[in-house]
Order: sequence, then structure tokens, then C-alpha cells
Amino acid sequence: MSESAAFRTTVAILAWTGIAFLVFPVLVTALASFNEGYFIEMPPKALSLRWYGAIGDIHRIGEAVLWSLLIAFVAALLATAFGLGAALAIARHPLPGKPAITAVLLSPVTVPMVAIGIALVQYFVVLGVAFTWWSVAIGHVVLVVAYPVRTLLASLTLTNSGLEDAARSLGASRWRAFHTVTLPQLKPGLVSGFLFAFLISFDNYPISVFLVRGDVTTMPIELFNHISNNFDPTPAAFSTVYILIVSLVICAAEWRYRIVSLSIPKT
Amino acid sequence: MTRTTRNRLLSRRAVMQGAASTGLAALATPWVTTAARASGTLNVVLNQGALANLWIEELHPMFEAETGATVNVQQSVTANMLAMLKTQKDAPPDLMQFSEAGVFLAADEGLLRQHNTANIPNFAMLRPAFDMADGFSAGCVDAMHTIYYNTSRISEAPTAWADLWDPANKGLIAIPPVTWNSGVRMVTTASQIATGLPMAEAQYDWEAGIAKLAELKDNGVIAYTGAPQAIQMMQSGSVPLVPFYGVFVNPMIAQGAPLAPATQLAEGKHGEIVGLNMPVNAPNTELAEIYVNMSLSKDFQMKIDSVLNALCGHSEVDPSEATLALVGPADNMTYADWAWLSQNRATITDKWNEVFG
Amino acid sequence: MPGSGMDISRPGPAAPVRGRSAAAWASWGPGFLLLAPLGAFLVVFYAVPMAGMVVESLGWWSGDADVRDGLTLNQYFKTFDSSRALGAILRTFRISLITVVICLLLSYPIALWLIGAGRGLRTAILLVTFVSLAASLIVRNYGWLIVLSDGGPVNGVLIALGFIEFPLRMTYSEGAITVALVHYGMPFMILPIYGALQRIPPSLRDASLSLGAGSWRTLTRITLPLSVPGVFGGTILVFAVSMSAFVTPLMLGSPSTAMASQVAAEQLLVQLNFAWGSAIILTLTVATLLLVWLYARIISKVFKIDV
Repeated sequence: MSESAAFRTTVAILAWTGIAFLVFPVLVTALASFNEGYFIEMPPKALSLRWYGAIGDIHRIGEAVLWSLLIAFVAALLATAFGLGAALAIARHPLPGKPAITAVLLSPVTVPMVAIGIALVQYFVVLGVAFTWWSVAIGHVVLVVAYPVRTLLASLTLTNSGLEDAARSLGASRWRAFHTVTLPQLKPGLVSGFLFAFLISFDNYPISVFLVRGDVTTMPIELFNHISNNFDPTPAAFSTVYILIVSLVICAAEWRYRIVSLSIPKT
Repeated sequence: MTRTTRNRLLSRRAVMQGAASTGLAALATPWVTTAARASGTLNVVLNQGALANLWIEELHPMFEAETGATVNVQQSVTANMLAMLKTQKDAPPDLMQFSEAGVFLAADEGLLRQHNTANIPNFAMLRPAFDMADGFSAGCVDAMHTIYYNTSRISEAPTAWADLWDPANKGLIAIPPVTWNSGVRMVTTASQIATGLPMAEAQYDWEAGIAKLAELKDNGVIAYTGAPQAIQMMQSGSVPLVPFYGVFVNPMIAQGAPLAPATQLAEGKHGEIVGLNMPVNAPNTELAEIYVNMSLSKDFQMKIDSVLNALCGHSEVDPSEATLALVGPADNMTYADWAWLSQNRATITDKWNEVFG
Repeated sequence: MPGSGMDISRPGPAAPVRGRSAAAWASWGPGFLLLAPLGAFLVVFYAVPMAGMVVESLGWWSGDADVRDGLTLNQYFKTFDSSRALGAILRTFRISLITVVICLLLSYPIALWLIGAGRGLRTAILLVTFVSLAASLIVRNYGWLIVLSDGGPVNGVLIALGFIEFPLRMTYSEGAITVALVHYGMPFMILPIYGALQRIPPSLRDASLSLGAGSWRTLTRITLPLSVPGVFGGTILVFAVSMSAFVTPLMLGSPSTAMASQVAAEQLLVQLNFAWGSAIILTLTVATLLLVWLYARIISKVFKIDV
């Protein structure tokens, strides 16, 4: 037996209203990016690709993107490495107070990012390492480490630790067993954890704005500065390109590694 | 991090030292890192929008090519720059671009270094009004502030600031925030209108000014809080009468926005000279002086005229036709006593916030 | 907290009835070793800096009236005295509440629909949700800036339909902030609810329907209550990110709609008042954690579930 048609239709209408709300700004931005004129008007009176060419004119955007790529890559790598150890510990080994430990590890997501930024800038200044690119990466790791931990925990529940034990009992060393049996099964968890850590670090503003100065700058900071001081649709072109790239990467990850199911919280 | 390094950092002494020095260290570093000061880097704080963009796009490449040094630029507004000058006395940036609204106060408090005009030959070419506070500021451009109107909604240019109080314009008007210098000028103009005295005397009666400004609330005034907001209102016509700075709006007009300035106002347009100022203790004075000299060069000053359509400081550069059309008669400009206004700015700000906050 | 509280620990050696034996401690060894790198990292770069910030907030600023040595609660008194800081915190709370409610109302139907949707369409919409989660917040806020702008589609439609003659000013207001925060929170709300709904055995729903309960009754009596853990997880997350909001009010608000993170950041970046800035942000953090904890207690009491 299934629900009544009225029910299904109502749910569908409400759902699609929500979905439309979700995608609306992205579609509008894409449309605005083709606006020929300097001032945004809907619908555009004439179309043009000129703002795509102007993307390079955003002040320091080239180096900002490069810095962001570097910082995000290092942060995601560290976060995934740390997260792997933590996830293995929580999933496979006995520990006191596991719910508490897990809560603490995942807490940086609920603490205001500005708090992390403020605390770290003072800390790094005292240590004398403020405003270096890797101090920014460290700040990002604190924020994003929760994501690999979560996806890897989810991934580990899907793996059978018995297989690893079997390999060990057949004579494989601990590392070999882990490396050849468990690690490949963890690929989806590793990839999705890394991906989310990377994307969230790349996009971060509240922590970066405190930790960045002078030579180092990040993409969100330069984009934000441009939006605050200029009124042309260049950010619309940049945004459209950015969303396109992110969509392609996520779709590729889903097609290859089925990351979607891993990131759905199991409560 | 190795075990030993970590132990050293977390040792009791390090933590105690850290805790004690957090305040000073934190105050000393945010503007300029040690690395940046040591190398050939010029740290410059510019104003906003088109004004800063002209320097960033035209001057910096020239400067970097000629000196081989890099320019590290940050952007801010006058009020914030003053606050930072005070708290950053030990490690300030090399140059700051803010207007007369801050210059007199900063000079009085000993926060600025007088320009060494021997090292800046172009200084001699400045018009007298642009040499502010006896060489403490190298004035580059007059950022004129007047009422801009949307030509598709308003057919005739306003002829007086008093037009903002005209009931016929109800709901069509805006004013700048008091955090902007133009917001303070609105108070002085309002007191001009309220007391009937000329600007030179009226500006001191700010209480009358605030009382008069408060009347605008009955006329549906919007106190805008940022440039994008104001530009959007003006350009779309949702609020067609917006006082704003010419240097920001003129590039919009060049892009085809339906905007035009009120070039002749009965009480006088607001002139505000923006200059380059060197903080005391600025590290790279040589580079800074080259930067100032380039900014005062005839070539660059001509760009101020052609790109920003504003009055520039160089005595040999007369305003072009296009600039005159957008700026109007120069004798219609009034300048304020910023030395006095800066002293009383905090009180004026509080009273303004009580009315419009 | 979403993602936590998973009971997936392998049973270790049984702990003796009286206290823990050496064997139990030893069995924790490998676990601790694996956890150590992350633990150490978080202590050095999270716990210690936060503690430092607490200490900083108990001190004085060089621009304060009377600067003394030693600890003081002055910055916290200042926070509650300041109409700007306190007003911002209250405003933040109000906006967060409204955001959570609207977000829940928009997201629940989506999660519900996803359960009954075909495989391909479901994956597609889930991917859209993910891209939304991963797309830059600045990009998404900028999108709302365009949508709500004077020249944007909302005004365009209103003018075309003749409701207004000149554009309405919708940007730089609390309304704009709320809309953007709802948009930001939707992926955080959809995914946990979907996860919880997935866990409800379809047989329960089928049984309810075949026993004569209508679709709506089944929804309110069976589905909704059983999805509470997911709703709880989603609402807490959206509430927490709304309370911490910084970029969104910065881009879509004005100084008179400032939220708490903004006011704290102002003190730091402009006034260089680390002491007061730290106090403000800590007040916000503690308030958020307290409210979250309170909410958790209420939910577990009312719904008698363990969260």
C-alpha cells in the first residue's frame, strides 16, 4: 500500500518549491554573468561574455587562488590523515568516554568560526609565526577535521574488520593487512572526507580574514573585497565558473566513489 | 612538530611570557609583519572605491617597475585609519591616504611625520589649498561631495541642499552615515540652513544641525550605510536623490548610469581634499617619498582629472571640460574646519546615532 | 550532535567488576596511539588558543579608561552594558530562531520526497544539495545580493506585475540575511532528516497505511516522531551556524543589522581591542553551547529519546 495521490502531490510541490529555492540564486547569478551592461538587470537586455574575460582583473585573484589551493590541499591532507587515525581509534578500538571524545572532535563545527580565528591570530602572533600560509592551513585543519572523521567513521562501519583479522592470521603484517585490505575499502570515506575538507577550507572567510596579511591572501578574501568595492557583474562570472568546477568535481567523486551515501548522517 | 619543540613552546615560561606579551605583540603586528618591513616593501593604506583603484591600477605598476619594490596595499576609511594610527604607533604602515577630516587631528596628536619637501620635488607644484597642515599632508585630489540625482526619475538638478527637506521629495532622499566624513558635513550644512549663517560660522553649531537633520526623518530619509547600497539606490532610481562623493560616481556615469550631479547648490557643495600622509615611525621613508612624488607628478595628476573627473592638486593641471561639467563652478565649494570638527566628532556621532541609529 | 554517538565500538576485553584492570588500560593503548596525533594537534592549536582567548577576555585593552594588571570581568560587563554588543547578540538569537524554523519547513518536504523518489532523480537532487554545501558561501550570498537587488528578478517580477513602480529595497536588511541563512542551512537540514527517514523501516509505514490510517495520519503519527533524531541533528546544526554567522550579515546586512560575530570582529580588526572582541565572541559561544545543551535536554525529555 502506498500513500494517497493527494499526499504525494502535496509533498512533491512543497519539495520542489524548496529545491527551486535552493538553486534559484545560482541560476540568477549565471544569467547575470552574461549581462552585457555594467549594471545588473533582469532579464539582461543584451548578452555578452565580457565579464568572463574580466575575471582576471579582480585584484590579486590569481595569486589568491593559488594560495587557496595550496592551503586547502595541505589542510585537507592533514585533516584526512589525523581523521583516519581518530576514526580507526573510535571505530575499532576500545576507549573510555567515546561519545565525549567524538563530541569534542566534532565541536569546532559549532564553535563560531570567528572565535577560532580570533583565538588563533593572537596565539600565532605570540608564537611569532603569524600571517604565514601554513598558519592559515593549521587554522583550517581545526575547522575541517570533523568532516574526514565523520565520513571515515561511516566508511568504517561498512567495512568488515574481520577481513583484516583474517589477513593477519594468514601471516600478513599489521601494516600489510591494513594497507591491502582495509585501506582500499576506505577509499570512498577518504576521498569524500578529503574533498569536503578541501572545499570548505578553500571557501573559508571568517578564519582566513584574521590569519592573513600582506603576501598571503585567499580567494574568498579577494572575491569579497571586489564585491564590496565594485558594482560590476565580474563576480557573477567568477561565481559561475567556480560552481561549475565544484559541481564537476563532486559529480566525478560520486560516480567513482559513491560519496553521497557516506556523508548522510546516521544520527 | 618534534616533541622537544612542542615542550619548549608549552613550557611554563613560554606560556607566561606569551600571556604577558599578548597585548603588546598583538597590537604591534597586525599591520606590518617583520618580514615585510625588512624587505623592499612599501606598506600603503588607501581609501576606497575608484579613488583607491586609480592608485592601484595606474601608480603601483609604475612604482614597482621603477623602484623594484613591491607595494603591499590595504584599504580602509578615514575614521578607521585614525584609530589604527593611534594603536599602531610602533609599527605603522608607510603611507596612508585619508582626507583633511583626519589630517589636522592626526598632525596635532603627533601621529604624522611632516613631509620632507626637499625629497619630494613635485610638492612645490601643489596648489596652496592642497598643502595641508603645513606639509603634513600631500593633497592629491578634491573628493567633491554633492547631491546626485537619477535623471530618469528627476528631471531637474537640485539647486540647494535645502531641497532635501522639500516635502515634494518625500521618500526620495538619502543621507550618508555619520561614520563617513560626508555625514559630518551634512550636519554642518543642516546647521547652515537652520541658522541662516554662512558655513564658516554655522559649522560650529552642530546641535542646530542635528536638530534640522532629524526633520528629514519626517521626509522619509534613508541613511545609507555603504557604497554598494547607495550606488544601487541611485542607479536603479528607487531612491533618486543621494548625496555622494564625485570620485565614486563619475566612473558610474562614464559607464552609462543615468546619474548627474547637482553642480550648483545654494549652500555650497562640499569639498574635501584627500592626501597622502606619512605616519611617524614609518619604516620605509625613502620609498614612501618616491611614491608621494609620483602621485604628485603632472602625469598622474592629469589622470586624476581624466579618470576620476575631479579637481587635482597640481597647479599646472587645469580641470578639463568633462571635469568642469561634472564638478561645476569651483567657487561653489565650501571647506570645513576639520581641526575643530575632529575634536568634537565623537559627540556629534553619538547625537547623530541617537537620531538615526 | 549529528554524526556523533555512533555505537560502533568493538567490545574490548571485559572490564572486571571492581574498577579497571591493567589489562583494560593496556587495551586502550592502540586506540590512544591512533587518536594521539589529532588529539595533540587539537590541544596545541585549538584548546590552548581558546584558553588564551579566555585569558585575554579577562584582561584590559590599552584604550580602556583605567588599565590595570590582573584579571577582571570588565569586558563582560561592558558587553552587557553596550547596546551595540548586547543588541547584536539578541538580534543574532532572534534571526537564528527564525532561520531554523523556515529552514525546517522548507527542508523536511524535500527529505520526505527524496525517500519516495526514483534512484536517478534522488541522486541528482542529493548531488545538488552537496554542491550547495560545498559551493562558496560568498558565491551563494552574492547570488542573493543579485536576486534581491533593485535590478534583480524579484523586483523585476513585482514591477512587471504592476505591484510597484520603483524597485523595493530588499538587500542590506535583516530579511535578506535571514533568506540567505535559510539557504545556507538547507543542506545541513536536509541531509540529517533524510538520513533519519531512511532508517525508518518501510514496513512500519506500510503497516500503518494498510491498517487504515490515512497518509497524513501516518506522517504525523509514525514518520514524524521517528524522524526526530534527524530533525534534532539538523536544527542544532543550522542553529549553531546561524548563531555564528559572519560572512552573510557582512555581505547582506548593514551596520544597524550587525550580528554578534561581526561586532566582535569589528572590535578586533578596527579598534584592535582584543580583550573586548574576545569577550563578545566568547559570550556568543557560551550562549550558543548553553542553548544547544538546553535544547538537547528538552528534546530528550519530551520525546524520551537519547540524543
